[in-house]
Amino acid sequence: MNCTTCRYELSQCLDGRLPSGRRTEVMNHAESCATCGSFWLELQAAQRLTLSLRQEEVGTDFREQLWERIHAGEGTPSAVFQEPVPLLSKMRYALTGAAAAAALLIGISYLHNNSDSLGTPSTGDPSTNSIAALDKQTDQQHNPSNTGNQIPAGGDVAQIPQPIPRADLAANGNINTLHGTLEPRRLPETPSMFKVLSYESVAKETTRQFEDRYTSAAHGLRNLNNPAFDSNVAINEILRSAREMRAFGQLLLDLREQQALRFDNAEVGYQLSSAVKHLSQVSRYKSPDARTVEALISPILSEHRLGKISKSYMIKPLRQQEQQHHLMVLNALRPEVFAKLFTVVGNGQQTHGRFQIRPNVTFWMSTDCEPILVAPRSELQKR
Amino acid sequence: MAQSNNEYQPDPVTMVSYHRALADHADSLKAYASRLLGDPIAAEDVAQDAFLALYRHLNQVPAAAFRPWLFRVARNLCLDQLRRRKFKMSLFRDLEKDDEQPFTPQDSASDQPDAVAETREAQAAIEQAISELPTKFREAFLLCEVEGMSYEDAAAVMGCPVKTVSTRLFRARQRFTSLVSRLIKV
Repeated sequence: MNCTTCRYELSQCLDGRLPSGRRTEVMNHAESCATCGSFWLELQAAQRLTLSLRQEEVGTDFREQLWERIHAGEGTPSAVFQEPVPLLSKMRYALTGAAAAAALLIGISYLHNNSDSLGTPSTGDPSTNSIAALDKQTDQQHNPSNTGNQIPAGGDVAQIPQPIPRADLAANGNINTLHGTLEPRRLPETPSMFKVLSYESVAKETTRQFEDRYTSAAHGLRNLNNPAFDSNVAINEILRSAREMRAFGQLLLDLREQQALRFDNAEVGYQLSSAVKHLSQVSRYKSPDARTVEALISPILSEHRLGKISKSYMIKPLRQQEQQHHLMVLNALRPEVFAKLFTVVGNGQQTHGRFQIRPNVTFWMSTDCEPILVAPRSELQKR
Repeated sequence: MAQSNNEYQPDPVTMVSYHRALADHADSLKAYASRLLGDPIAAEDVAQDAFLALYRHLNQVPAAAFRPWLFRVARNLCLDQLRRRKFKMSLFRDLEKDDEQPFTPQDSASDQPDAVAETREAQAAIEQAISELPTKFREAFLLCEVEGMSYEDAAAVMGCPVKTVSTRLFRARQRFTSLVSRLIKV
């Protein structure tokens, strides 16, 4: 095997893109050839170096500034769609265009001459029969101000595709979720003895669970700082709580994004966004240790407002059908979070034996398949 | 000239995907732009412009394609900036070269490259090596090696065939390896 080919393929090996048979051949060569073997080791070491690069982060006001720009109606920067075209390609396009134009002119000229020589019947006014005259007529019909000598401008009008407004969710348009399409349909009637699951009940349970995990994480942090406790147990407790805090926090942010919920203090919203972002970073560590906890989780636990988040939000009133539809979509998108908030205790026809249905804490929820009865986990834990 | 569309309101499902993209890709998009431009402040603007553009075209871009779409847009914006500032950039680069410290990576007691790379000097040396790669090779290197993108997605971002990505990545790795050879203990 050629050493140049081997090195090229070693690079592909590094990305797992070589079929196993070929990979064996390449690796056999690398083992027998000192230069290629050394190159393989260098490639791996260089990759480890690259992976150790620190992750650059956007500023804390990145999102706020972005939303300001979006709400201010700022448009797409034109450079977004300006693809760089190499000079050679430009020349090639220009020559191709010129050749096409020349061919078209020759064709038109040929047709014109041919029709004259075949003795096409004339109505006496040659200007109405020629292609140029027809073009001029059509052009004047569409644009009376165009007298024929002007070249229509605006060849770049369609450069940026214009968004087509999508039907509003409230108007029951189809919704494309990551799991398929939810088609609009009439939601079934709700039995009068049950409340319908609403934004309010979801937000209430989510904030409760968030606070609960916040307390657990804070408890774990105290244990971590106490030499009498096993630090590994404390770290595990913190990480478990942090993972769930992130999930619940993200759901609250989703609700805020849908303008279903707002925080009565903007600072709380900001702290929550920041907390979710930091907690997301924890998952990047393969084995987070006490230093990771101190750096990423401890600052969040010092934000005491987050520990009382259930007292800091307000729900925007929306139509019941609309809420049900939105929640159905959220459930389809975040089934794992919903499962941590609510337990299914039955469906429209029957209840699961071990649960006692209590009208005040059992909610009727529409799903993609059939309506179900759910109860908040915090209520079930109380029993 | 900027184009705006104030009437378009993405639906909540799309917004959820958009927020996920913000959380997942904003940092890496900034890092990518920063390494193409060599300017973290301009890179943050590029990342924000890319997300603004995505918001305006949410009805045309499927959620699964957000990542390559964002990187493609960021690439266009970076190349546009580099074109505009070509002369200025070369001046700045020359000035930087005067102040540049000699390439002297710390040779710590540990033989593990990961441990070596923890030092600030080593990080700077790696960044320097990346910035010295020719633009085409650097792009392939940043997308595939640093961001861990597939060859197919990188090809979509760079607007070239997959085979070209593979070749450029190989060339970039060769150069990068020789540039950081002092840091590598095999």
